[in-house]
Amino acid sequence: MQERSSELVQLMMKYQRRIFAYIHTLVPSRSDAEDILQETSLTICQKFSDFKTGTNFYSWACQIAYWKVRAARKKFATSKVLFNQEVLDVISQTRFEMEEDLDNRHGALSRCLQKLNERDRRMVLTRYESGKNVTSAAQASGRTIQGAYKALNRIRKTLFDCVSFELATERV
Amino acid sequence: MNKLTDSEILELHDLLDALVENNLPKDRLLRLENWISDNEEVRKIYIEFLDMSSSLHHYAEELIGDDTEQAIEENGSIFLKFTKPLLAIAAIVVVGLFFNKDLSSLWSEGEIFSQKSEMDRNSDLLDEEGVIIDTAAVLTKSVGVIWDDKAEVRPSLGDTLDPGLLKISEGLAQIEFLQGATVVLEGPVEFSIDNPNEGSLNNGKLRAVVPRVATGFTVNVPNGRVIDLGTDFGLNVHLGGSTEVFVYDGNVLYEGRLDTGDIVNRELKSGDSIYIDPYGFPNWVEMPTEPFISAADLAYRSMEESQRRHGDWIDLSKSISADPRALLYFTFDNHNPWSRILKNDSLSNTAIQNGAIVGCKWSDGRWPGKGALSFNRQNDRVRLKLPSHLKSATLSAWLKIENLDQRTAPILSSETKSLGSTCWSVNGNGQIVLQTKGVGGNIFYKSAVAFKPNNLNRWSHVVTTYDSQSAMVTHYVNGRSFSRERLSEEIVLSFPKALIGHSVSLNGASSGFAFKGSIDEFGIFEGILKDSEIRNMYEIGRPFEFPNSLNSRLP
Repeated sequence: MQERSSELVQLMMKYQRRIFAYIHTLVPSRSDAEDILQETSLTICQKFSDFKTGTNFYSWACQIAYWKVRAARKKFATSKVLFNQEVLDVISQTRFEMEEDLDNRHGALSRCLQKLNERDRRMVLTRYESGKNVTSAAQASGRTIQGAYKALNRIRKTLFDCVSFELATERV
Repeated sequence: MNKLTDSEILELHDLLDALVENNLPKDRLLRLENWISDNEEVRKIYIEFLDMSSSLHHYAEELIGDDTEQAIEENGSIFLKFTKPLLAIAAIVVVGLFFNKDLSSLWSEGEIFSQKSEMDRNSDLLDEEGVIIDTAAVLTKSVGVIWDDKAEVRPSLGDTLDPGLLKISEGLAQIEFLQGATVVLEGPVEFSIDNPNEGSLNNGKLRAVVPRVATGFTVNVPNGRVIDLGTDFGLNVHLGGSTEVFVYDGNVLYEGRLDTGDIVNRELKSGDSIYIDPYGFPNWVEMPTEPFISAADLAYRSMEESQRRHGDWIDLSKSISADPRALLYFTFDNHNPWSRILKNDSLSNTAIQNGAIVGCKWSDGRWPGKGALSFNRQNDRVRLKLPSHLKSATLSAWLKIENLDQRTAPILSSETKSLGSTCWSVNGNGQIVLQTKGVGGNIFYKSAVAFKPNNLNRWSHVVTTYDSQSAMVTHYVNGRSFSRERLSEEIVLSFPKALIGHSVSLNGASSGFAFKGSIDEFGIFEGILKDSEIRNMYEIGRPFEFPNSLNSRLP
């Protein structure tokens, strides 16, 4: 019993980011995605005895998350899940095909963040801190709110392009 | 499959950016949904973009985690803050609860709710400690607003509003949130501004108009919250804790909690109305019990109020014109835009000539359609002749000062430098100054500071009385006595040739000074007007919604 408990903790610690990322792809609002992650995590705890050691935990957890998103879609109508079911299904399918690439992008993003100037890096990370928003990011970087929206748009585009370039370079 | 063009990629990034900032209007969301469905490249970019977003969350939290550990070490505290729900669950697993109990019964939905609230509270606390609270909205209109006696904030029209509680006893106030939502509050009302896209209605009525850019605008009510999905809606929170919601246009989502702890949602469409009882249960109803004032209604009322005030002022100005004490009275009304003559409207002193306008331009005064003269350039002025010699006099003007860059902003100034020559001005410190030429030289009667940068560019009523009988000079601002000073030398005031809005220096400096701003009423009275008459001139003459921002500094 104790072994399974520590196995679950290890698996969750290892895959929590990826499970959240999967949910976030289906539910773009961060707080809504976190709510669904919380429900998913509880179900994972409850059902962990069904999980066979050695099989793909991430895939198993994502199946639970997928059904939680479906349930949220019915329960909350337009509030949490924005896309229709067909679109959710194609996103989910395409995402599984891209998993390895996405893992590489996650690592490359860390390097690209280091390439940003200090002001932009502080701003974008403030924006993504728990409980923070664009206003917080504007204050952290000494910008107006409108200025912060524009700057975030630019920084995200820069990071996105940087990550794509990093991966392309690695492949070469 | 065709590759995306550069402009399509840019459009896609804009859509994704708006999506993650929760600013994507419905029609553009639909465009994105269809595009994701139909185009694999778009779908991949969407996934990569959202994955990057969650990675950024991850790195931002890692950074906090580092800071938190450091703070724990520094403070010697054993408190461990879990920033992620998953970690919190992992912790429960560690302490061994998970295999022994049915977690669904251990953490009911309500308990999850309260667990989340606790985390939210922690996060709020961090906000309070770590973030400088910034401007969230602007007060853009008000009609007959009387602030509650206990109101801590009493903003003037045009003031920016930080997060905080607004308490209005009577009247209507229009608040524009920085994200774009507009709410009209109907007193009596208690409304808290929480952030640039969120507020809380404690009691009273409001009507909100939310443009697409502000979709997601949220109003918290006693048992839940009303989330806008791009719309126009009215809310009424009764003192007993019940709430009415009426949707005029678009969609609104109500998310609430019953007193049993169960979560309840209602999506309202155009024309729908719900009554949420004090226990939190939303009931569909036909119509709200009372109508809500819209921004258009408020604008109409503003106009109506403005016209009413203008009408009252016309009546007052007629009585001033007929007053025999009025030697000179310029209403600045009923002039052609090309007129270079400023008509003296005093009916009892027709001998005094009209003024000659030099350089100044005609503009709008306190009300739309009311004339005023703008003094913008260094040589703008009105030249006049006033043959009278005055032992006691009252000088009165409605003016709007644009800046006090120069040492003095002359309102009225004698052109000559003989005994009794007078200059009435606002100096660079914002003090009202009556300067007279006495036997021993210039004498200055200065008020306390009446004008500061934050009350420039607003119409103000300024009066100075020179009373030889009581030997006092009194300055009035916006109808109230602002400061008094004993005469140091009794002289007779004279303005044989005088200028409005410009002065030649009485102490011999070659270049004069210029008033920068507008004047839309001016009078010179023989003798002293009573306090009540001056107060009346201000009360009737004050422009619609005039903020009496000088009150707090009155002695």
